[in-house]
This record gives sequence, structure tokens and C-alpha cells, in this order.
Amino acid sequence: MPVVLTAPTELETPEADLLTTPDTPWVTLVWNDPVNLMSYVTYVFRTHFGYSEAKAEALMMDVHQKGRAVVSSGSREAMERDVEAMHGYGLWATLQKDE
Amino acid sequence: MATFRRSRNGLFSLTLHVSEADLLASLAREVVELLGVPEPQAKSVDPLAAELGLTDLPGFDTPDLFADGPVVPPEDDVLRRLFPNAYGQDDPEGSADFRRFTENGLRARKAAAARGMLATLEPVEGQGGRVQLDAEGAQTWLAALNDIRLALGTRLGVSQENDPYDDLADDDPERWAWAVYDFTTHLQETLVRSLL
Repeated sequence: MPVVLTAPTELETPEADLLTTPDTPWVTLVWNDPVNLMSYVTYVFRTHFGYSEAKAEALMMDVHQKGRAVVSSGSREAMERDVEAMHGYGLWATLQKDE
Repeated sequence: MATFRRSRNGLFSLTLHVSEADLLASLAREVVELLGVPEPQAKSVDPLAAELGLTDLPGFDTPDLFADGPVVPPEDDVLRRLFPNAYGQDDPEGSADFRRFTENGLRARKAAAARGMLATLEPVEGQGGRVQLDAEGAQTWLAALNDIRLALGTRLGVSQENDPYDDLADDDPERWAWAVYDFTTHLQETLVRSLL
């Protein structure tokens, strides 16, 4: 009996997909690590993102004290580029959908 | 201890003792070896392309940079630290795709930085002396030194709380490794400060 190929008795509602907006913002997170110097992390935030000294320093302190900080947001593609750049600098970064 | 200084002509200079120069060169070599990226071969120049002034275009003889990269994290602890997953544990497919498209390029850039650092160390290796870097050279060193520190820190198991240096016996070989780590930290710190 073709059990596997039988159609599902209940059709999945396609509306579920339509409800997730395609332009949900994504974020880049930088995580605390014990090796990268605070001065270096601040320098990377200033040079890569063009942030002011005050903003870069505040983000670095967030990383250091809270364990992580959102350092940029935008499309998934843009966040993948930021994460790749952070990995190039040796920072531990990930991306995810904005919560 | 050798310290980076920015001189009036805008160059970044560092005076190394022979032992410091040799140490830094051996660390950079270890990183190059660990990354396992073959040295880029000199491109053969197509005479027609040269005549048309097209030699600056990327060649087609470097397919490895464009080939698919790995999809699983490296086994080595240091390499896993240098190329971490880009997505959380709930999205292994995202991490695999990201790795496939970025890891080879990142490896090549890190290897190029370590080789660049080695090239500037060549004149002072075995004798010590002054290294002078322009802005581009300073960026190369910044990247290469950071990868060296990540490698040493990972191998030593550096953590936020632990600084076991004081607890080690005088003749513990780990003492040397920690001293090397501290030396590279000092160089990185003074280089960043002179860049600001």
C-alpha cells in the first residue's frame, strides 16, 4: 500500500508563509570573548561601521559586560557581509532575525 | 619590551630585539601553516591582455577561491575560533551555507596578512632591528597579530577570569607560552593606540 505517497488528509494552510514579512530586519551580534582587546574591538567598530568613538565604545562595553551586543541591523545579505567582515577581524559574530 | 610608536613621518615603527623578531616570525609561520592556504602563484601574463591593458583583471587561474568551501566547522580548536559559525545552533543550514561561501576567502585573507607580516620581518630576522610600517602595513600587522593572539589564547585556554601566570612554577614550560601571549598583547595594544 502506497502509504508514504498518500496525500495528507489535511492541507497545510499556505497563509502561514504569507504572514512572515519578507523584510524582517536581521541583526549582527558580536559576542564577548576573553582574547580580543577592548581597544581593538572599539577600533574595529569605528573603522568598519564608521561609528563615533562614543558609540563604538558603548557597544564594546555592552559586549564586554552583557556578553553580546547588536552592532548592526538590515537585510540578511547585509548582515552576512558584516559577520564575514567581523570574522575577518577576528571578532566572534553571528546574525539572526531581530527579536 | 618592543613597543609600536607612530613617528612624525606618519610611519609606525617598532624596534625588535633579535629574539623578538625571530619569535614573531615563527608565530606568523605557524599561523600560515595552520591556515593551509597555498602561496599564490605568480600569474602568467597573457600578451594580448597586456596589450589591451587588462592585466589587472582577476585571472581565471585561481579557481580555488571561487570553489565551494567547507560546510562543517574545522576540527582544530584554533581554526574553529577563527572561522566560527555565523548562525545560532537553531540554524545549522545557515551556518553551512555561510561557511561554504566565505571560509575559503577568509582563510586566504588571513594567510595573506600573516605572509605580509613575515615579509616585513624578513630584514630583521636573525639580527633584530627596526621595522617601519606604512598605513597599509599597520593594517596587515593588526590583522596578523590578532590572529596570532587568538591562536595562542585558544591553545592556552585564556578565559575572562583566569590569569594563571602567577600560579605557575618558575620552571613550568607554560610560563613561556604566557609570556609570549603577553608580548603579543602588548604589541597589539600599542599598535591600536598608535592608529587612533
